Amino acid sequence: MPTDDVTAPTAAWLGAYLDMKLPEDQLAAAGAATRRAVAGMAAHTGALAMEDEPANFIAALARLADRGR
Amino acid sequence: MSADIAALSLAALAKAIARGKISSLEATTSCLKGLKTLGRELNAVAGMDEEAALKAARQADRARAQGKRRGRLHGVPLAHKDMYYRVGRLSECGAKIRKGHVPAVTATALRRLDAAGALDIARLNMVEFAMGPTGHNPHTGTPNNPWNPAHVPGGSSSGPGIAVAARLVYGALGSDTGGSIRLPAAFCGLVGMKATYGLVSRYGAMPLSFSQDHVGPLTRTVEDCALMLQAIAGQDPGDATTSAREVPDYLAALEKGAKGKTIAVAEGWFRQGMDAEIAAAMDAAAEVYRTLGAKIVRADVPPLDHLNDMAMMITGAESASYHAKWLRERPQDYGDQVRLRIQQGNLYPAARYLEALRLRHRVVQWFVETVMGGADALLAPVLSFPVPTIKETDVGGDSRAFEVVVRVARNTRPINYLGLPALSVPCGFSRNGLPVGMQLVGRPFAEALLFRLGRAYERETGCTDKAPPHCFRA
Repeated sequence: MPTDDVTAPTAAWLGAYLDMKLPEDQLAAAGAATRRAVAGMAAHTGALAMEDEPANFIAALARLADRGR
Repeated sequence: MSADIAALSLAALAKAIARGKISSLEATTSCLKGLKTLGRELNAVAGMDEEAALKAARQADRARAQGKRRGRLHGVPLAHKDMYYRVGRLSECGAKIRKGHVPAVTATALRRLDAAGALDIARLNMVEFAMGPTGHNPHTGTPNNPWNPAHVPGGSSSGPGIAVAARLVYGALGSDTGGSIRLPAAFCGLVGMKATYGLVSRYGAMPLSFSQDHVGPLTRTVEDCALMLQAIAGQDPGDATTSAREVPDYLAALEKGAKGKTIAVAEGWFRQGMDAEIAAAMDAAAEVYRTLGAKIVRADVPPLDHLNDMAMMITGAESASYHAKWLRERPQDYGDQVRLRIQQGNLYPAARYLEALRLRHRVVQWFVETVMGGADALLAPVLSFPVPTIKETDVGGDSRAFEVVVRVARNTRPINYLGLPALSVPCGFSRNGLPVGMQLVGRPFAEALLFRLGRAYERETGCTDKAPPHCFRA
């Protein structure tokens, strides 16, 4: 299991938070989707610089538009 | 007379009202009749106030007679997805939890349409909290596609797709977080615009994922779509993510054609698992552009599954945040699928969610510079297979719900992560008689060019001329 796969403990927390036991098939699907997304990202996170932050996205759209063709 | 009115485009009706050839009252009366009959039959309508609509139409006619035309949409009846807030009016978001919700603010997009003179005559059905790509809704009932009521209309802007296609109103606002404008537009044979992230204010619109929500129009023609976007685009102090960039005149270059423009036909990942008749429709559309003088190139698109995954992660985490209180206090009031997705959104690690957002600027740069290369637009299918039936996609709230969500929005969701503009345009029909839609994906803030390319195709093929079998005729 990847070290950052926190599905099981988070699901346990969520169950406690909601005071309900989450159905196994839902957890399995949620866990699979989470693991796939994390694995998919892994190929790209190596490109991340410490300075990258979410707001850079808006600036990138403007820059790419200005660069135009 | 009503049948003629119902068949007009938004642009044609606006001109007829401006010239005094048709009154807003005539048009609005016709629309109300259609909404009350076929609109109810197809389950497109969440609510309407006939008295208020007729009063507004009379006021519009009086104003025009006095030379006080408000704008390009003066007197034109529109209706919108039931998630655009208007002070004092119900906005129930397709949700049991929002039953009876009366907002205290008015959405900027509605205020701007009001300023352009448009009338807002009804609230249109939608998927619960805009979380679903097919149209299913356990609270309001699943609405029907006007091309064949056994088929889904697409979601989450299901009511707008139906109402505009069935000639009940002349245009509608939808919203698009993973494809929710482009999917119903494609399923119902309409034009739909998901503009660049930041072009249209989200203020006063029900949030689903603040990083990926887009407000935009569904219309019958490209010109209509340009007219509506023109009215709603531009910076808004109410939405800090809106761009200060000047909004161009989308109609100015509309008729300039595709000659000299480069269109990249999306292959590679987009062709994987694609139904043969959808692939044929994409090739045929590319051929039309070639005959119009566009340069056609092939784009071998690398796998974009990770974009879909990151987009799902962002939507999941952000929607889980919005819904935390209700999920705890009223879990039984959600539909099974929506509750499942919100629960799942709680499972993403916060650091991974933030990485998905931090990566975004690098990924969009890669996509525009490498995948699109020097092309003006990428031509890709909205859906890789023919529009499914309601029965085929009615999977309830178990794990298959994820499969349907992922499969139906596979081609549209990556574009929300990228924040790029995408215009959905009808491009033929599949063997089951349902429309096929293509999306033209552009560079940031290239909406004017997308409209121009969409219009060139429309003019050449008449792709928006045909009305569905279930359409309003007075």
